[in-house]
Amino acid sequence: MMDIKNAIEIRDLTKKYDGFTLDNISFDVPRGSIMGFIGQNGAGKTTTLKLMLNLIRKDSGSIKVLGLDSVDDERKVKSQISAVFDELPFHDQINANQLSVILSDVFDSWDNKVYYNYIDRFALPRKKRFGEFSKGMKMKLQIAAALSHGAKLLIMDEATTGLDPVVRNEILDIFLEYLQDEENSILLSSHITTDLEKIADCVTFIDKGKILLSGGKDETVESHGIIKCRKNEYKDIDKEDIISARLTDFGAEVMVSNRVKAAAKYSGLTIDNTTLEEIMLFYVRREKGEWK
Amino acid sequence: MKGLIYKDILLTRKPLVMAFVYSILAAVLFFLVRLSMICGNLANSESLPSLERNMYIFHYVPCIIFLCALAGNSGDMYSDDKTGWTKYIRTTVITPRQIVLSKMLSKTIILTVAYVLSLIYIVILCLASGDSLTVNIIGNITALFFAAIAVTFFSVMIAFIFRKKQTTEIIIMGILGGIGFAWTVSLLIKLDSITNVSEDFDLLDFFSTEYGGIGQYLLIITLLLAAAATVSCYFASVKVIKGREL
Repeated sequence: MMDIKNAIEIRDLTKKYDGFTLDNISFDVPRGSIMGFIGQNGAGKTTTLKLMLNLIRKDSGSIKVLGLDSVDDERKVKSQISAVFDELPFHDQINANQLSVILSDVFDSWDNKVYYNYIDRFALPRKKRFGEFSKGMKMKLQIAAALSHGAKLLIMDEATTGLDPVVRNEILDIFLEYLQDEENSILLSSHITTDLEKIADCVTFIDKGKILLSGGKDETVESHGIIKCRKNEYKDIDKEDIISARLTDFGAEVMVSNRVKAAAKYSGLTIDNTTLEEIMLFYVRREKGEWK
Repeated sequence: MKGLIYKDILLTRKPLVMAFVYSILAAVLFFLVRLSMICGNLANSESLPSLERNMYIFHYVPCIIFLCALAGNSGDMYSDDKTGWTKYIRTTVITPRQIVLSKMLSKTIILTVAYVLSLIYIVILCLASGDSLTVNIIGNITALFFAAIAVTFFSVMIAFIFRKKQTTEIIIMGILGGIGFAWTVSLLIKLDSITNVSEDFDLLDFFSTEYGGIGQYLLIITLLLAAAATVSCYFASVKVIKGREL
C-alpha cells in the first residue's frame, strides 16, 4: 500500500450498453490527490464509478484500486474505500444512532468516536429520522458515515449536486481536511466545475464514453485558452488548432488546447484565460466544430 | 450481518405491529358480536345455551403469521432498492451471500415472533372462551408457521429477481400469498372436520392416523416445502445478486 503511486489505475476499460459504450478508457488518480471526474449527464461518469466499485461487470480492461484488482480483490478493495452517492442510501425511518449500530457491524474498522465527532460537528440530530433531514444534512450524514471507517479512498458520485453554496463549501473543506493525510485520495465525479476548480488537484474529462483529457487541473486550465477574434480573423485560424468555436454576432471565441503555441502562431490575436466549465463546453461541442 | 438483520427488523416492526393490532381488533369485534348474540339468546331463552367454540376465530388468528410474513417482506425489499441501500451495501465488504442470508434470518426472526404471539393469542382466546387448548390448533399454527416461511422465502427470491419491476413482483407475491392463505384455511377446515380431538389429546397424537392422516401428511408436506423453499431461495437469490448490475 505504501509504495502505490496511484490510488486508481484504469486501463482500456470498456463497457457496452444498448445505445452507449464506455470506450476503452484509461486514466489514473494519483494517491494523495483529489481528482475531478467531469462530464455532462450521460457521459459515462457513473458507469465508470460503478465499474470501479464492481457493481457492474466490465467487458474488458483492468481497474486497480489502491494497487488491488477491483474484481479479484473485491473484498480487500471495498474494506478500504467509501462510496458517496448523490442521494442518501439509508432508509428514511432510521436515525443516526441506529445507523451507527448497523454500520459498525458492516465495517470491521468502524469507529463510533469518529462517527459521532462528525455528527456533532455537522450539528446533525442523533435521534431524528433521516426522512426529516434536509438535502444538506443527508449529504453530511453520508460523508460522516464514509469517513468513519478509515477509508483510504472516497469515490463520490455527484456528491455536491443540488446543495446550497454554504453546505457545498463546508463539505469541500472536509475533503481538504481528509486529504491532509497523504495516503488518502478522492475521486469526485461532478458536472459542477466550480467546485472542482476550488479543490481538485487533477481532472479527467469524459464525454460520450471517451476520455477527452486527463491531467493536472492547473496544467489543463493553463494550457487551454480562448482566442477572441473577428470573423475574418477566425477564418485564418488553422482548423487543427481549434477544439471548437463559438460564433457570435461580432466574431468568434475559439478554444485552443495549446495556448503557448497559439500565442506564438497567432501573435496578433488576444488569447484569454479559460475555466474548467468553458473547457467542458467547448470539448463537448468539438464534433460540431462551430456553434452559437 | 447482525447490523443488516437489525436494520430489517427495525424497518419491518411497524407493519408487523400494525398487522397484529388490526387482527386483534377484528378478533375482539368478532368476540363482541358473538357475546351480544349469546346475551340475546340468554334473554330470550330459559335454558342456558352452550358457549360452543367457533373455529372461525381460531382459523382467523393464526393467519396473522401470513399477514406478518407478507407485510414484513413487501416493504423493505422495495425500500432497499428505492433508497439506494442495495447499491450502497454492495460497495462495502458485505457479500451477496451475507445479504441473502441476513434477509432470510431477519424474516425468520419476524415470523418466529409472530408465531409466538399467535400462540399466546390463542391461549388467551381459549381461556376467554372457556375452551381448552387443543393440540390440533397448535399443530395448525405450526404448519402455518412453516408455510409462512416457505412463502416468505420464495418472495425474497422473487423480490430479488423482479425488484426492478415492482408491478410484477406485487402480482406474484399477491398470487403466492393468496394461494398460501387459501391453502391454509382449507387445511384448517379440513383438519377440523376430520379430526375428532378430545380434551386429553397429547401432542404426539397429532401424528397418529387415528386422528386423521391428512393432517400429518399436510404438515409433512408443509415442512418439506419450507425446506425446499429455503434451499432453492438461498442459492437462487445469491445468484441473482451476484449477477445483478446495480
